Amino acid sequence: MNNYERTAIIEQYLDGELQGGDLEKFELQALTDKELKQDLFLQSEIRKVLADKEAFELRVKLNTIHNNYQKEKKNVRKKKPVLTYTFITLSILIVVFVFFIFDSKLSNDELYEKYYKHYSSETITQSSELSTDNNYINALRIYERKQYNDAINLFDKIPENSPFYNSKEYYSGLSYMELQNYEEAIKHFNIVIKSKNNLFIENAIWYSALCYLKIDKTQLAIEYFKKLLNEDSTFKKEAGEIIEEIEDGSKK
Amino acid sequence: MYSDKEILKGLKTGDNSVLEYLYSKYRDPIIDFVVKNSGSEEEAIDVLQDSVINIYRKILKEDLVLYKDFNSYFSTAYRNNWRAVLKIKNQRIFTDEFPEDLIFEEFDYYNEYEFNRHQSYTTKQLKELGVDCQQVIEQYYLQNKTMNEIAYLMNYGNAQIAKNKRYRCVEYLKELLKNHINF
Repeated sequence: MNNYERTAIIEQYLDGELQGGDLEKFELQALTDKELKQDLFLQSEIRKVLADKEAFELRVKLNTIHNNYQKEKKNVRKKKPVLTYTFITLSILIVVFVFFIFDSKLSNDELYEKYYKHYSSETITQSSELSTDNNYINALRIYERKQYNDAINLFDKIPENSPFYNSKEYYSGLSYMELQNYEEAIKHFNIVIKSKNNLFIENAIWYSALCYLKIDKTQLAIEYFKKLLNEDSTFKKEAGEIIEEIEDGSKK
Repeated sequence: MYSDKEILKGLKTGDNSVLEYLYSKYRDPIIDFVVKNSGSEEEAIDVLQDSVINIYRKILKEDLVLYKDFNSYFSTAYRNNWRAVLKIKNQRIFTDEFPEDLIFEEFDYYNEYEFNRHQSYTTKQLKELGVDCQQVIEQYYLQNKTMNEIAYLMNYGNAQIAKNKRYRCVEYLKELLKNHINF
């Protein structure tokens, strides 16, 4: 009996599908066949731990919180001694003050804050009322409740062959933006952009550009904003303003 | 900052912000405690998780009584949990922060320990499977969907194909769990 066959017969036994002679044969074999016995234990344990459904789901949430914490920890800068920190802060303030007098260019962060707007899923949710994909609808609801980690977990469950695949990649990107994980957001937006056949491409380009701005990849941000300068684009005006702001600033 | 009532309510509903609050408040003290008492940071995170889960189970059974405040209760709970783990692992206890007359043991931790470990490993290894396997397993074992429903939702041809997929996914999960030294 190979691994798959062993798994299948054990599942049939645990589901109560074995009867009569087959059942007797299995139970006898489980007493003597070491591998079968071990796998029976494992598969029973899997069912037991998953049957504790609420605790299992709570563990998933706790794992996600822990993983996010680990990621954020890597980005925390080391604290400097107070005096050195104070000196550096004062120096920066003086430099910024001097620059402010001569140069009112907005920083990338300031541009991001000025132009970023949270994208609501309300209109999309209404059009998806007939959807049978519970994960997608539930994920959108959770996204609207600003529980972005949970939304991402649900979006991750939607397979590639789902009709909501591009939508869920778009909203995953937005969720990561809200969590300030801009690199991850860009990965999801790029999937939407590459698919070329969905409603979210323009938005994905816009938000990717904002993400690049936020992580100071200014050239890439400009490239993406330039893609939105065609006549039909909703973001044409804002994209033009941002490009102008960046290019004026770099000429000074 | 949450009141004790808000914490218990948040735990009962699995409120993410309450869970994040508990994690951020107790992570460092638990790591500090466990590491000073022969443990690792990874084991400390397990203790934190198991302590939260154990309290959650008590809340669901409506069996939880706070004699003092939540902080005292939880601090006792995680200390007791780690004490039980060390006894199970037969390790020496090195610090006197860990007196033998530690307050009442509310949980039957010894029996729950193995189950919690298995559940923890299964949760982590499930995430290592492909998205479709995770979905099939969760739909069948967590959501109790029938094979016909799963076949429809996952666009498999029929229930038997869905069943074969499920068997394959359980096989993969089993192999991952077998490779985990403590399962």
